Amino acid sequence: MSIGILYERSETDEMGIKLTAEELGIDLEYIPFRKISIRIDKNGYSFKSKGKNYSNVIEDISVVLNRTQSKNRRLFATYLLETFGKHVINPSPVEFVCYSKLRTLLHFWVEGIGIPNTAYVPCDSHETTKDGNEIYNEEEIADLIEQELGNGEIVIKPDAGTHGRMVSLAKNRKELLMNIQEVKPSIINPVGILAQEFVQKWFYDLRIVVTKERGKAPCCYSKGLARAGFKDFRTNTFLGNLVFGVKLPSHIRNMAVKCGKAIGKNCDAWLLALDAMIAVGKNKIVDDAFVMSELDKLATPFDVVKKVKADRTKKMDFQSWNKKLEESFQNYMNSEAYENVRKIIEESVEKNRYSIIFHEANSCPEFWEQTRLVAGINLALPLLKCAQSVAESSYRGERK
Amino acid sequence: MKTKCPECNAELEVPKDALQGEILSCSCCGLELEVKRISGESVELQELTIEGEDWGE
Ligand SMILES: Nc1ncnc2c1ncn2[C@@H]1O[C@H](COP(=O)(O)OP(=O)(O)OP(=O)(O)O)[C@@H](O)[C@H]1O
Repeated sequence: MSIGILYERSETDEMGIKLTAEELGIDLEYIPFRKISIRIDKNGYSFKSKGKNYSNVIEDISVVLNRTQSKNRRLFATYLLETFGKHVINPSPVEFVCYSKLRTLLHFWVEGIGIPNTAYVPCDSHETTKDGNEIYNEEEIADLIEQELGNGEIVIKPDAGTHGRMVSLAKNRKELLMNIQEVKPSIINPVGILAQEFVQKWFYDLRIVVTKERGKAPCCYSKGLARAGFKDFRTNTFLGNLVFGVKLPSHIRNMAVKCGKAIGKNCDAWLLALDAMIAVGKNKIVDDAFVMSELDKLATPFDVVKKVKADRTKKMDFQSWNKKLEESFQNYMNSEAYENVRKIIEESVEKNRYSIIFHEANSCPEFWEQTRLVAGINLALPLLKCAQSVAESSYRGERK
Repeated sequence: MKTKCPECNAELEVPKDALQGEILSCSCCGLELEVKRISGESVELQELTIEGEDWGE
């Protein structure tokens, strides 16, 4: 029985999963999800694109890696496939929690895991009454937020946002009002305003991978991916920040496993990439100016990396492109500045390990380019292992 | 005119009267493709990179 992989547009991650599966001798069935119609009727179900019937493919697989990029589609895909009797990595309870930052934070909070002080106001900034009058709620929402979080710096973020889109920082009341006004109900923030205290992190944040295979205890990788930069308070990589592979102290790894358990609960197998910040505050180990100058030195080798990443030939000849990518990252990582910054982050993480704050869990993380080459974690391996662990249990007839 | 889908490798039949800039979609995987160039019997397609607001992590 083979493993299915559901995708919308195969990116380097999906091509990387394919390459890794080939190397391991695992058969993967590719199922394009976006242009398919799924029919349910009294005779069963069908799964068809305009030109191909995937129903038998679906029938023959027992487990699916859900690499659907849209959060909403991914959630639907999980429910559909689970209803058709398939195991999905990640399973629906995990997807349901990860879909929403608020839900994720609530699960962490219940377990006593450090999170940013958070306030949710379930009201939209602008409403229209039945008789067509406009109501503006910014002032009231700002009052409620300031009542809970004080009038310091406040971050507003969409509940189901990705890539740092619409995550804004307000330094005063005027900015807060403006940022609240910007939040319109949308697919990434269906209702209300999610606000957080501004965590006094330094120039970096962390991405930490935790995973669980069926029959085994959850575990956390010993290294994490630090994303670093001074240009924006948002340090996520999508915005062009630099990346470093750093060793994680055991306290942080244990906390990450706790986060994984809080979300994975009774599910057999899952994989999550957690986003965390460290509230370093004034506890910096070197001057900002020194770090900035080291980061500046890395701009040129990282530009080479970016150029390779943007190369459109990757689909045509993935293996050669991949080699070029590996070389460019190696060149970036061989520089003295890389090692200097990496050590600073590692030391800062170690010294401030008890100030770790978790704020998000990603259920379909990008990994082939940065997490694999910088932190040394090829997520395709644990993903395939998770899938195999549940596939074997179904094969042995262990499913309830 | 025949060509292959860059995504799923399925054979694609491009209509004879296809124009440069026209958007086709692969009937197998649904990938949207833009006709970049047509010369004689050969046609060059390029993937359209659509990205929704809730995509990516
Ligand atoms: N409360 C906060 N205090 C300080 N910085 C924050 C806070 N929340 C978010 N950030 C910064 O903003 C960045 C983007 O925020 P967040 O991760 O919530 O957005 P996202 O859209 O989910 O991004 P991604 O998909 O890349 O994880 C974070 O990586 C972090 O650097």
